Amino acid sequence: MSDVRKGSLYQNQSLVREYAIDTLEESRDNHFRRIEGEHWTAFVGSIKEYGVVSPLIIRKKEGASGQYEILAGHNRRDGAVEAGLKTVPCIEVAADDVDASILIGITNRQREEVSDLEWGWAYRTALEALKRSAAEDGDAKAGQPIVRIESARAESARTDKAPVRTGERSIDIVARKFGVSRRTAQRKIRLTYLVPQLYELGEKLKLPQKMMIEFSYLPAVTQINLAQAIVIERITPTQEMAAQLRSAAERELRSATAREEPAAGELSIDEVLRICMRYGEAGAEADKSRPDAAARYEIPEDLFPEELPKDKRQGYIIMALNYMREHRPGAGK
Amino acid sequence: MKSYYQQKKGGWTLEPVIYAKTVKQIRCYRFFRRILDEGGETGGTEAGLEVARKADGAPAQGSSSQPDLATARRYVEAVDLGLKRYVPEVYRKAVFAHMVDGVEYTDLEETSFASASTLKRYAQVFVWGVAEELGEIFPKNTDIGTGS
Repeated sequence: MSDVRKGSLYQNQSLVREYAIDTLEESRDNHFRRIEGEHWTAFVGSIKEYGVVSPLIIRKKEGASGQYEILAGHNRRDGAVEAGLKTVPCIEVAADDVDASILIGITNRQREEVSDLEWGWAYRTALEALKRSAAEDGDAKAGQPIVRIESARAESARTDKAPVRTGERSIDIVARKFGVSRRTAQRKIRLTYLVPQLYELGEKLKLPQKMMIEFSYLPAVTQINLAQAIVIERITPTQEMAAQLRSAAERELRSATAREEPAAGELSIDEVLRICMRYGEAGAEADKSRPDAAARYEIPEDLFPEELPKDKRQGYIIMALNYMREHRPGAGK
Repeated sequence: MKSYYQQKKGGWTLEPVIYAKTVKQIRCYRFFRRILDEGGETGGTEAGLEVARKADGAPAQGSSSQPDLATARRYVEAVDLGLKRYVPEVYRKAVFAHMVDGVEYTDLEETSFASASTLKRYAQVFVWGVAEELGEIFPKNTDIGTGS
């Protein structure tokens, strides 16, 4: 892996060749956001003026002759297409899935705004590739590499020896390759198990990562229902609410397993709302933060009839106050 | 804003084409349900379907646009599941009445004890849910939910 560090590759000009743009395909492991808006316009402008200065890093696509997968340079390829270029400079490397996913991650490291979710995806794709590769132990890699990527596994394939077993867990290897701690890698990987709606809400409301990790253990449908509760019913999530939802989902999963039903611990929308309303805060935090927020009054839940929906409570209170005014002593005089 | 427009906020916005298609499929719920019921009564044979098609003035057999029993079942199940999974019980009747029978929110407000804005939001999630059940949404990260 050390040989494909961006600097050393780019410094070796003899490796750079021109490749037709239409032979370059997007990598399915790339979860990094593209450049957008005015930055994109400026980016395309610079390509029109100077061309693609830094070469892209690509690898041969398996099972498709003459096609290449982009490992680094998705924006440059798209920019070149928009600028009307037919070819772009590329460096072809012989990277397996593990090295490819790590390359995709480390070449985005210098970007200014990489979200936790993007890093999570980078770690997860690398981890999954590593696990896949461990399952396919002993498979010889076909093709002569142009640039050799060093790794314990590649070395073992070349020397026809059994894979090196260092006792290191896959997650530790991924964390080491990316230069982060195992806990950081694990936490960010958990974020990739969130549905987009819930992740975006978490970002918007600046929910703590610990809470988001609890949510990530919920099944997808339950996560969608939770996002509904936050948006539509204006619930402010709490750590206790997250823990309660997770334990309820686990209970549901256990009971479904006992009943031999193919359920995945999904909670019904009504159950999610019940837990959210009991353990969450009904928009209190959001309102407190507004300087012009109206005064809020705490009214015990049991004063309202059970069947009365929350959004009809105001009318109910007005009715009650009217009734009291009409029936107070001396009102009819 | 027209009641059949999409809610732009909340994360359940669909591609306009997918949204329009899903809303129309939901609107056809009763048609599909009748095909299913009458097909079921006759043991799921084509004879039952023909009865339903004639009753609805649907295209004659042989036309490429005629729904078969499996298609009808798929749509009916998607609507039922979308309603059950994504809409709280208290709002289900109202959301269903609006989406399937076209009852206006203003009329539903009085009978369902829910505000139009709440119903609109749940209706949007319902449409999103049906599209999801029908496989119309293709998320990049397909492996969401309980991971190890």
